[in-house]
Amino acid sequence: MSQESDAPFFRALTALIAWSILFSFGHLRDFVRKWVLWNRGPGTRKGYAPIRQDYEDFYTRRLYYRIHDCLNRPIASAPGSWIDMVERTPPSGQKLLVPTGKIRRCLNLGSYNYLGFAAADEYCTPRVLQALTDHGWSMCASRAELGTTPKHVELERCVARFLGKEAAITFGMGFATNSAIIPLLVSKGCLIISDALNHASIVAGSRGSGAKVRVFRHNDVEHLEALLRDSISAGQPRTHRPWRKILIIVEGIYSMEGEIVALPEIVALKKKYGAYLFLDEAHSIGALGKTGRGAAEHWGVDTADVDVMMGTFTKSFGAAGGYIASSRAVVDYVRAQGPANLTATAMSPPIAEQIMAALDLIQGKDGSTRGAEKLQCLQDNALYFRQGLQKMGCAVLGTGASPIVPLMLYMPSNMTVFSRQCLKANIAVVVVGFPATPLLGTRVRFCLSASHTRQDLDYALKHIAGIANACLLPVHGSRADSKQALLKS
Amino acid sequence: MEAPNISKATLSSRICAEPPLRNLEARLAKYMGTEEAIIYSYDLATVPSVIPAFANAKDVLVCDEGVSWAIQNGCILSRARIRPFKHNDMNDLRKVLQQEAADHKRQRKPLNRRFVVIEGVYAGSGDIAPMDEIFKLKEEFCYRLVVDESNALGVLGKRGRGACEHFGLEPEQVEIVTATMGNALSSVGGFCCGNHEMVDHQRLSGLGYCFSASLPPYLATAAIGALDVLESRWDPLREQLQHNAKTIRSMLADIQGLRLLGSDADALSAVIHLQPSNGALDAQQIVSDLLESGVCISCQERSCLEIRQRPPTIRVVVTAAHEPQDLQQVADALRRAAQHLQS
Repeated sequence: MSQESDAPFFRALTALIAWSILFSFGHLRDFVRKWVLWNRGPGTRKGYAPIRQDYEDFYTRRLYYRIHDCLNRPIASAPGSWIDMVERTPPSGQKLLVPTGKIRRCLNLGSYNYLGFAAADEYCTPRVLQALTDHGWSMCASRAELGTTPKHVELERCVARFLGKEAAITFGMGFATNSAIIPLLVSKGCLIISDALNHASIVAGSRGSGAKVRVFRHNDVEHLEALLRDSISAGQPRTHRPWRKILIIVEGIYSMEGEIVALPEIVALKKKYGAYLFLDEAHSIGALGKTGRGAAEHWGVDTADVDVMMGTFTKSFGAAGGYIASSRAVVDYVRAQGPANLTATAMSPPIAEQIMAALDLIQGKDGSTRGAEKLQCLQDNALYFRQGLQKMGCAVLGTGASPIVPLMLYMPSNMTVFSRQCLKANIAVVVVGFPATPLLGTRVRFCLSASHTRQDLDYALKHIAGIANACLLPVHGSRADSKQALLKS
Repeated sequence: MEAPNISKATLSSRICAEPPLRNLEARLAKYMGTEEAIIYSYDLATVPSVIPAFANAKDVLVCDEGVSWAIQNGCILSRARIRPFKHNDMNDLRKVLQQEAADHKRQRKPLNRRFVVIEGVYAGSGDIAPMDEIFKLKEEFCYRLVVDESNALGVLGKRGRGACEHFGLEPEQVEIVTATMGNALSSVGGFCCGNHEMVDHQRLSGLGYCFSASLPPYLATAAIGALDVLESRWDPLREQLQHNAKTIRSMLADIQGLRLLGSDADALSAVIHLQPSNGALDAQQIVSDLLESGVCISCQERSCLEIRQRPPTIRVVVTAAHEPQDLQQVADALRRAAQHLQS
């Protein structure tokens, strides 16, 4: 979906022209600054190379500082369905943006608060506060040393049971779960076959492992099979010995695309070729499936067929941290050898309690149906919002049930216009552009939540329709009133 | 303390560096005496994000052999050329730097970024890096210095800023300083501080910052509270802690069968590692024996991922809150356990 060739010809052309204007003007200004004004920027000490590389420096000065008001926006409340945004001075050169002291109440379409656990909850919050009183907020030690409380043990048991795996282990950060654990699972002489759009933490983990990495086209099962056949028949580079292990790494929902992994086909392939499967459910756990059990439940795949299940608690559960759920042997090995377990500070006990409370609620263990309603509400909201955008005629990525709805903007300038106009209309959104996406893949990424009401979504759709028209996003529809819509919003 | 909201459920770089986090960044920068600071939500992700943000395949990292896994991982992820030097051995560091300079000159490579990477107090051995000599060497050879102050912050220095201050270096003389907030600040997470350019670059290039959820705000509030204490009551705390560190180190120095890592120069370090020097002694066994006599210390196991394999050691950590009789109890128990196992 995200392939550059997918952008319609006219869009691609205009976006490319826009990018080349941005780059050439940037370079022109640099040239003038360097040779006419004789300003070489902040000098570095003699004998030292500049700390930023040329292209990084160029990107920061000429592109990033023009739009940095759209990124790194401070917020002053919990990320519920409505959040308080801190207003800042408009960008001017490379100056820091200073808060003006004013607060703007905005509809939150940017946080991964899928199940609405990020704001205070009548069931979860009292339990969290109790855990804070009982266990304090920091263990000041690693899990392997003196950092394991009954809460940690209970949490791991809860997670394993929820996923239907033998055992689980948890860590204090989702990113580090991937970057520190993948090197334990594979090493030199092993092969990682990774989806092209896998998250940066998986890339970091693969790179740190020393294994050979091959990348298949995003969610393209045929390409995956071709790579598997090719790799197995060729063996290791140079020596042509068979691979010690082959690990396929995919995500449940891809965070930039909103697409759901083609799990049944990949499981069939992994069985056929004797590879192992690592499934990163950072975005899908709690958000997919009838009871929130993630991509496996969504597709009706037995979790026993997924060798290593990884996920984070940051999104659906409104907490922090990550887990690995697998067979007992794997988890015991990770527990004994994982640097994240041996040296990093243990998870804060109130966070562990928040996760357990959220899990209990989802499974209806609190005695109410709120959990089930939340899950249903998220699916309904996602579908309603996605269809609303599609009706406008906008290009939307992803599949029906996914709570991530990326809307293609194509033009780099749309990124700022869209973000600033949305903020004006009291909607907080996240815009993403190059280099986080392909050059032509500039997009705005809406994240739906169970805490959004139908009025919230109607409000958002109404304003977005106006802004999208002004940005010339819809393929069809009237553009006559676009200017007026922009003025009104 | 308020803790209604555990998570921000958002990427820190997108819309979620909210006031408690901004406050903590400002407070950390002020405390460390630098222009700016940046918070990472996990200590293990701090150095592995910082080093790759500044070094790539063209660059050179001269790295102490005794650094923790996080730093080793950061060096590997950066893909830079890694030149190790013997742990805390200044002659070897000079030799490596000279060799590297000669190689560079011979191959006529363009000017690249070079870093010396060390820890202020080594987590794996409890000894202090001789920052004064390292600083001289790095200035002589035009290297930048990366120091992880995780176990030195709130332990060493006139204001508790760590090993750099302990050796009389001014803030920002060391280009990149990182530390965990999980030790002296009794919170969770890590931070990096330095000048504006250095920190601002990480907001775009630090992987653990751009691609991870931010620190839960209540943990930032906890760290701010710890900074308040450090700023207002540091002198009595320091006196107590340093006294305790010196006392227990002298008590543990002469236990038969257990070798104390480090030398007299490391007397102020609050982390003490004892290595069984006798084959009959098993670190794990001693730790569980001690638990029965009411003393809880830990055995530091090393991950198989570490580049240099080291045997497990017994780790004793003192705090300012320990009383003299506590320290005596630990020393006695350790001595008894060692004797018992050897007999």
